[in-house]
Amino acid sequence: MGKTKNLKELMANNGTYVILIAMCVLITIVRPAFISVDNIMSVLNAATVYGCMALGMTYVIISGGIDLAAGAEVAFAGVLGASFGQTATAAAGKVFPGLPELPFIVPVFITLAAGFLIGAFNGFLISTFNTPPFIVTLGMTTVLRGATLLITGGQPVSNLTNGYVVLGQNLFGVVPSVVLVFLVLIVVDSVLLRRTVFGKSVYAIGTNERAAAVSGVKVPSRKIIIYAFSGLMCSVAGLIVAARANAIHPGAAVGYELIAIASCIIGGASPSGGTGSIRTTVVGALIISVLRNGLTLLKIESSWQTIAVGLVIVFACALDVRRNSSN
Amino acid sequence: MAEEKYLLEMTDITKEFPGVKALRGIQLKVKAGEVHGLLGENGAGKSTMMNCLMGIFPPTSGKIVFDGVERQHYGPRDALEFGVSMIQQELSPMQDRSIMANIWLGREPVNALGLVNWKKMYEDTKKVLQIIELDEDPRTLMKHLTVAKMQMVEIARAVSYNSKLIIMDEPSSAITEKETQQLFKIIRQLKAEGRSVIYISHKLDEIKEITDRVSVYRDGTYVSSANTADITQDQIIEMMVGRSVENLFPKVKVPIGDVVLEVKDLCHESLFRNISFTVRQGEIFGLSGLVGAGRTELMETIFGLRQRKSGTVRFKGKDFHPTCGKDSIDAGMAFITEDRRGNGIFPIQDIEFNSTIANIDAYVGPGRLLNLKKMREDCAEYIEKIAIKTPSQKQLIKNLSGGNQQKVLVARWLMTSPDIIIMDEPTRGIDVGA
Repeated sequence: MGKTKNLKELMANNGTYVILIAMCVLITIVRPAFISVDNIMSVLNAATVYGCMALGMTYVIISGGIDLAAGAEVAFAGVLGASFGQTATAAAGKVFPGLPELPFIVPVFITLAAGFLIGAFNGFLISTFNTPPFIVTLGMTTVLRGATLLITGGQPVSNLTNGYVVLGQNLFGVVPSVVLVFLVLIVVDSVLLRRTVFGKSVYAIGTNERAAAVSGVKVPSRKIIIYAFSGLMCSVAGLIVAARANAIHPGAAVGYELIAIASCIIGGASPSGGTGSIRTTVVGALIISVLRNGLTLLKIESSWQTIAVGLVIVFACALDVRRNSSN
Repeated sequence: MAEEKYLLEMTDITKEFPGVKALRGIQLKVKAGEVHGLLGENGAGKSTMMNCLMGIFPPTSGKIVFDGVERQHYGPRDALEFGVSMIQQELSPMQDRSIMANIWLGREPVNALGLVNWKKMYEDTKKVLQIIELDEDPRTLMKHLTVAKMQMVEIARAVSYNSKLIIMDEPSSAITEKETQQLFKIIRQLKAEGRSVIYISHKLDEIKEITDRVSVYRDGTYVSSANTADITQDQIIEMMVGRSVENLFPKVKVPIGDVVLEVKDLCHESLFRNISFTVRQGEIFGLSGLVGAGRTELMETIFGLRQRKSGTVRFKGKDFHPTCGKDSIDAGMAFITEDRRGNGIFPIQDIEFNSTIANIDAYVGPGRLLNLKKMREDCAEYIEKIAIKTPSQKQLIKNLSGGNQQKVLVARWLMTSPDIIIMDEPTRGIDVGA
């Protein structure tokens, strides 16, 4: 009796960790290659894009909102930035033909600024007109996808400058630089959420918006920052997408917002707001990445992998509902 | 005297929540056809007891006998079937549906094809509305009704279930005095039909007026029951708080100082007009008025949560024009709101979060990071200072009783060291002599 209770408690408090470790152990037993350094790096590498998106999404979800435009933000910011980061003699048509080769800082800045401003605009619409985040960001998805096609004429933006190449392919020891970027963001975002006034206000808004206003939280301006922050994280993801392939397609990151949302929820954030943390979101993102990697090692087709990931998301949400009702 | 027959007998009921013992062996006996008042400070266990009775959650132990049958392991639906219904304090009807859809929700009359028989539903609704003398078309949408009328619809629903016992949880807290009289008329009528009513209220004059007997509870225990006619209000209060009344609010002599707050000709677009008053330092200033008179709205306007149309507010000698709660907090104003659940507590956050949130700027340290240790210490200090009953400061506030939640809110505002504290209906459960 006592033992089962302990196990229950362990699962209730650290369920996702247990699941993640159990998955790793199981896959290692069947395919020992899983635990190699190379493979672990590839698990992390695979998680960086939607992982970065999930970091920003964590803030949005804790505040009781949702950012369905995240995938479109990745593509738009990534494409817009990359347009300013093409080599002088890009073979396949440049977006801005006359543009000389600019220092890497320019496309980086443009990418980040684009994501930030689009996110801020989402937040502005949501807080000023009191429109549901679901609707605003769903609408923005279409707007941004259209704008992305408009910029590129439907063609991928390729032949990017050396900065992109370095970001996409450089290794620090065994760690790819994009993974390093992801790890740094995890630390920064976690501290920002746990140890700043802004972080606390995110929880306050998500738990009880009216009480937050009475308690001195400037709800409208905070919401703008929350969505801007999500946009910023998406633009980092966009930068990574472009750097990895040295090109970015206007249709990049389609559906990624769902994987990012799933990472948060699997980790334990509640879609109704007020709970969640960066740590648990990272665990959620890793569970998805490990699952995909393990299935690949087991030589299971990618269509089946997609189905498996979908089922895990549904299962995780069902668990969340149970967790909440048992309280 | 012969053994009296009871409609409801709850005996030795206990209920434990994680870390909190909400009920410790309480009892309640209600006769058929009586109006029974339930009294006790918030946190005394009244709501918990009623939730047990309604089958919303089961008691940890104890016996519930209703209508001569012991009832075990039942849900809210069963409770409605065997004749208990409850009018919640905070009504949550389906605003966009009609009166009749609300009344017959989940048990709509159907025709041979299994489709809803709207005509029968309409006629049936008319009948029950007639019983309680509510003159409204059954097809009226709920959102077009006043709170008092929504309550009537709830009562109609209870009547439609043919309930023998109707629980009313603070029914008068959101309606006007005139509407309360109307409510009393219906209660008397229900009583005449042999139904029983459990009436929960903090308003002792109402208890005196409408109830036949009362039961008093304190800290999850049963104190006693009495015939309403046999006891005075003072005796009731004494039973409720466990002390005699004289020393309940020891008046401390405080020198009255300069004017702190001066409100002049304050107007709102539609809610109130030309309000003027002044509050001096060290003064307790009472603001009264019926529900709907605009008190809450007035205070929200002073605090900057609503926009004023015209008029001036001077606070500590300076013109005061806050545009949000933060401005007022920074200026030294605190606001304990009326609607604790609506805009007071952060239910799924812990006590620490709930108590420090309004004062959070005070904990910003180097690098703009929060000093979490200081926050923990301050919270612990206030838990002790105003005697908040909780196993730990990591406890989620929703797990505390209403009174203790209110204390956490008091702690939240005391931490901001305010010059003036606005309390909107703080008696919705508080026993601090602060």
